[in-house]
Amino acid sequence: MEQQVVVTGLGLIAPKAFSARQLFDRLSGGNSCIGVHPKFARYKFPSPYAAFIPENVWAQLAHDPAVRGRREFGPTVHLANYAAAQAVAESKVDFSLEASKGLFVGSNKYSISEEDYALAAPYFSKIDERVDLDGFLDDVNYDHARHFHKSQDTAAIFLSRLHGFENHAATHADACAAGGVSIGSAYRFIRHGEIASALAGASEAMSDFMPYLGFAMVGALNQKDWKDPEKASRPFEKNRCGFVMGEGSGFVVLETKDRAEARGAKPLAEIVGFSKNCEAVRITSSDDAGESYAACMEAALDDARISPEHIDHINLHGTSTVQNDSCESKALYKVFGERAKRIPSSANKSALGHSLAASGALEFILSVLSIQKQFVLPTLNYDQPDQSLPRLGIFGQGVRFKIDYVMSNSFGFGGENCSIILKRPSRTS
Amino acid sequence: MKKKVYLEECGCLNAAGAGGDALVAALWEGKDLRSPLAFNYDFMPHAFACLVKTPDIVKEGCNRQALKTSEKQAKLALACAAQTLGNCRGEFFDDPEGSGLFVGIPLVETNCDYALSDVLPEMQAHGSSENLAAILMNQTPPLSGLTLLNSTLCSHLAGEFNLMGEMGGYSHFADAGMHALIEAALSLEEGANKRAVVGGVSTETTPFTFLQFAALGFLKNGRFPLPGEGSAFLKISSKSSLSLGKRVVLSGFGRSFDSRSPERASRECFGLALENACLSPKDIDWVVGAPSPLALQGGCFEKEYGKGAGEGVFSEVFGGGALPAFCTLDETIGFMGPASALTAAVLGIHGLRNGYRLHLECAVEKNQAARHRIEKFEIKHVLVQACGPHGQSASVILSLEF
Repeated sequence: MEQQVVVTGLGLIAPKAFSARQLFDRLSGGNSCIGVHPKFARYKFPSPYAAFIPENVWAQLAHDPAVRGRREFGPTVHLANYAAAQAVAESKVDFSLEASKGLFVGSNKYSISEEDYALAAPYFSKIDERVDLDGFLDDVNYDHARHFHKSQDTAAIFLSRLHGFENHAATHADACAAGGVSIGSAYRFIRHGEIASALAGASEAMSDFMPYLGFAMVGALNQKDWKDPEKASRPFEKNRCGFVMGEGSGFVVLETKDRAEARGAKPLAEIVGFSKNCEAVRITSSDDAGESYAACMEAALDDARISPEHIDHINLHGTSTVQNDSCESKALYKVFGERAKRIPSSANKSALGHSLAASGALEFILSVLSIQKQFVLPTLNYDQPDQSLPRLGIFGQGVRFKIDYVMSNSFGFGGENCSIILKRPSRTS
Repeated sequence: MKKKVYLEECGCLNAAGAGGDALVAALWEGKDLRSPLAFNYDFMPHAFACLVKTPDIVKEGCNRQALKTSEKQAKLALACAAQTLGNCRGEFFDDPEGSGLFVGIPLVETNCDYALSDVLPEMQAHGSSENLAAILMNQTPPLSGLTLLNSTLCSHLAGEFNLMGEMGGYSHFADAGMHALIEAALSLEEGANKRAVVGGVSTETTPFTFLQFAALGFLKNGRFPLPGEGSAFLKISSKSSLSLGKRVVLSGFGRSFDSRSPERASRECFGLALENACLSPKDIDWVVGAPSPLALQGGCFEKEYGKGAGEGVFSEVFGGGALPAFCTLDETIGFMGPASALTAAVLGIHGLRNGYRLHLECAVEKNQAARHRIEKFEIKHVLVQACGPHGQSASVILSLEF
């Protein structure tokens, strides 16, 4: 028998926000989380903008008793620890006592820092292309445990130990769609009765030197000097020219509706549909006409057994790259027709930057709060709509709106896509 | 499993060569497939790895454009997939939306970038300048950013084989390869896909591989994991085009995790797989253990077999009686992360279809290739086991359909 799946806990950390509701309030007021990254400015990068966790916050996160002194756990884990703890606390679920549970974490590789790279550099000989690994490993300035930070699964390992997950613990590596996929996968496990509860989300710490270089060279990153960092991310706007690096972590607690009600927990939203698909186009961009994005959204609607008319709000992927926003606009018209321009839609990356794997989880959480507060978040910098694209229902300011169903989209590099559909929780009579 | 999921095409590429026959020959003969590494070090237990020459993917019929961007890892996967799935291209082309992709992806390592290593120390020592920033930008490989994600490999595969169905990427040890297979099978069971490509690939062996091993604590043990390069691919389908007697189904699976007691996780995992397949321990004819650092750290598998059974995971699961035949890929083709689990599955399918099983002949000695004895045997059920180094465990049971 299929189970109804509800959200009973939210946890989040993002630049300039320490909880889901704080972030929602910040974004509701039209405030951005993007600033000038001191490291990018120091390196004199042409566009030193990012949504980043500042050093003092990193220090606080590293001081948490759960991670303090554990050198093998790095920034991705520190973020996940904070966000997951919040979600668990709100839900009041003690996972260590749960018999049937799962952990689902979306994460990409954490890049080696440029400091570590510089430490390693003297041991690389470009003359004979050999590496003095012996010398490098003996270098007292290099902490080998830090290399472990790179692994995608460190957050899953950490959380599974902390919360006692023994049935299922998986790391989802679906690029920018990983956050959405991890939550969607948890939803499926619970819906099918494989587990009764789950901690699901994602963590990403990419606002750093090496990712900046990499994504700048792919051509995906904003490289324009806007003078004002808050202007740099402008999804669907005429002058958009790439995304802004972001980072953060978001986790949710999911459980069956019956179980939540039995223990008196308040469902914040219900997940009713999920779909993921892959494309077969290019490694850095998607099908120009948006066919694959549309197929993904339609499959999610089918999964939810609702028609496009039911969707009241769309949380867009909206990266602020020329190509992605174009594909998504066209896809929305394929799915929703002319109604696409009337459905209130938000592109949270306008304020949050693109936190890659974490983005789907953060946006899912903001979608839950949009349902809770019946409020559509503004899309910042939507000054001049791109007239070459089909017009969407994007607002520069937040608006109150009756929201029963939300669709949250995540579309990854190379065409790894997912859509999740959330519903306002109904009361069982 | 509630519905039948057939494992149709399957293939592997590793230091033993391409395909199941080459793998069986290497295991049987106890071939030493280790190659010396080019890295300059002398304290390591052994300076060897089971390497695979970078394949020429154009010769394998893959799109030339992939050459511009792909890592060795992606080339290994593309070559293996092309060899394995060459005959399925028409099927994928006819129904791309019904054709999914599930891949076990390791930590994507990039080679030491000598240009960056020139510029960075100067930046660190003397501060930056627009000029240095420009040099840095110029020296950064155009698509290196994608190695931070895991999408490059998936998008290459999807593009090459026209796969547009449900997908999933899983990281990053052997259990991830098994997760890919299990999730792909579930996507067929749910009707989300009609068929799916399931793959796993190793990381490229670089000096950073050893840094990762050092970080994982492997260097402290007497037995050092032998790094391996390779890939394995399968096509699974809700229908079979093969004749009876060659049809292999995924009859059950189990997953577990316990960082404090990996043995407990493995035991639970076996039990779940047997329960899911509605089988009892005595039905299992053969156990194929994927290479895993867990085993190399004195874990449950070879140790138990090597000492002739006793108190341990297998003995508990199999009721303390005679243990089924067991074989391990560990010391022959090396530890290949997600590719290991699927290579083990490929070997299991090969045994089911060809009526044999391999027995590990003796306890694996330090840094020696394991020898196996081959036995003609009409096996019906194979348990394939994969572990991650932190207590991850995943098993599948593959069965011959009669």
